[in-house]
Amino acid sequence: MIHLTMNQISAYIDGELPEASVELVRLHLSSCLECAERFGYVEEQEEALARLLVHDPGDAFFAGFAERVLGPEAPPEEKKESQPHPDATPPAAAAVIPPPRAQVIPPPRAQVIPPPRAAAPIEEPHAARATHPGKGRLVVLASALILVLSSVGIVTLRRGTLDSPSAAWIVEHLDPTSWFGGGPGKRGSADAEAGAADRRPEPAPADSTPAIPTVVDSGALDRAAARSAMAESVRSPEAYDDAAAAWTDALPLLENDPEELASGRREVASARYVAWSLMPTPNRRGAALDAVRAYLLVAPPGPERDLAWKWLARLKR
Amino acid sequence: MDSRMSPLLWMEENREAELVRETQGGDWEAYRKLVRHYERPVYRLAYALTRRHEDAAELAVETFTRGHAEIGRLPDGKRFLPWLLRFARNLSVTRARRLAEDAAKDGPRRAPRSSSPPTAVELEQRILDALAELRPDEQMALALRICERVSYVDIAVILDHSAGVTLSRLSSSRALLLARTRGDAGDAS
Repeated sequence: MIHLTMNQISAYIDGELPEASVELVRLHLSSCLECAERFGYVEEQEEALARLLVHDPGDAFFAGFAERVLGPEAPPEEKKESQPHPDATPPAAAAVIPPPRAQVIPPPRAQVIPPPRAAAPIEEPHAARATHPGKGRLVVLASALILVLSSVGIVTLRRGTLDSPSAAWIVEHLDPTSWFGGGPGKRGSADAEAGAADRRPEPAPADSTPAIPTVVDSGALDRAAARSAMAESVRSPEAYDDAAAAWTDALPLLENDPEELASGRREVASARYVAWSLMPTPNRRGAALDAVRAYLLVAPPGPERDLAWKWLARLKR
Repeated sequence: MDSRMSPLLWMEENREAELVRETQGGDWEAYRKLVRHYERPVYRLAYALTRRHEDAAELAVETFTRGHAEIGRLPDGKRFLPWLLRFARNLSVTRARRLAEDAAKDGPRRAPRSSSPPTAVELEQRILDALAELRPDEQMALALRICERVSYVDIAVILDHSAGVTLSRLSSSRALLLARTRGDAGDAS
C-alpha cells in the first residue's frame, strides 16, 4: 500500500490541501492503520508544540513594551520638543536644540592651544585606545598633563607663592575655570557626578554679546574632551563616569551635525562601556546599555558601529 | 500583498509605509505605533524561538531596537514585518550558537530513551530537545504556523521564499520532531 507522505499529512493538518486531496487523505486515513497512527502522533505533537511554544505574558508586559524600546512616550503637547532619552535625541527634535556648533566663534584660548578634543584621536573607542599604547596614548597623556599643570599653576599663583610670567600666561590662556564653565570652586568632583540635565549650557540672554555663549558652549566640549583624557590617564570607573557625563552634557551642541552627534554619542557609549567593564555594577550596565543603544541609532556603518554591537552583546550577557 | 493575509498580523500596507517613512524622517512616535502594532506577534515568535519569557522579552526588544537603528535601510515598497523578523531570526541564531557552545562545555546531554510510549511530560521534553536541532528557518516557519496560524502564503512572504518551500520546511520539521519523539514513526517521509 502507498502511504501518505509527511508533506501530505503536514498540509492536511494545516488545512492547506486542495479540497480534492483532502477527501483522498480522509479516505486513506480511514483504511490505513499505519498512517492513522502516524497522523495521531503528529496531531499529539502539534498539541504539545502549542503548549510549549505559545506563551502570553499578559497585557501588563505589553503596556510597557514600547517604552523599553524607545523610552517613555512624550506628552502630546510636547511631542516635537521633548527627548525620549537624554542620550538618544531623535533627529526630529534637533530643531529645538541649541545653535549649531559651527556658528560658534572659537574662544581666544583655542588659538593658543588646540582643545584636547581636537587633539585626541576620537576615531577609536576608549576601550580600543586603552589597549594601544601608541601615538594616541601619548597625545592623551599630554592633554592630561596640560590640564594638571594648568590647574596647579593657577592654584599656586592664587595662593601668592608663584608670581612668574609663565604662571601669568597659564592663568591668562589655560584657566581651567573656563574649561569647567564657571568660577573657581564652582565645580568640584561631586558636582561633576551630577546628572547631565543639570549641567546643560544655559541659552544666552537675548541682549548678550556673542562672546559669552561662545565660551560656555565650547567649554562643554573641551571639558568633555578633558574628562576623557583624564579618564584615559587614571583608568578608573569613576573617571569614565565623569567623562560620559561631560560628553552627555556636550551632546546638545552637536545635534545639528549628524557626524558630530554620532561622534559625541560614541564618546558617551564608550566611556559608559569602559566604566562598566572596569566595575560592572547594575547601574553602570543600565547606563551603558542606554548609551550604546543611543549611539547605534545614529552610528554610520563601519567598524565602530560593529564594535558597538559587540559592546551591546557583552552588556546583555 | 495577498488578500488572504491575516489582518491581525499585518498592518494596512499604506499606513505601514507612511509610518516607516515618518520613522526614517526621525519621528520616534511613528515607530512607536509600529512597535505597538507588531509587539505581540514579535514577542510570540521570540518566545517560540527561545522558550523562555526573559529571553523572549529581550529578543523582542532587541529586534525592535535593531529595526529602529536600521530602518533607514529598509527598501522602498518592502514590508516592514518580514524585514524586522530577519533581526529576530539572526539574533536567535546568535543566541542558539552561544547556548550550543555552553552545552558543549557541559558535555553531551541526552535523556535515556525507553521503548514504552512517552508520557506527556517526556514528550514535551523530547520535543524541546529536538527543537534545538531545527534550522532557523524551520523554527521560524513552525513558530509562525503554530503561534500565529499564519497561512503558507504569508509564511512564504515573511521568510522570503515560495509557498512550496514553506510546505517543505514545515513538513521536514514535523518529521524530524516525530523521529526524535517516536523513533520509527517519524522516519518515513
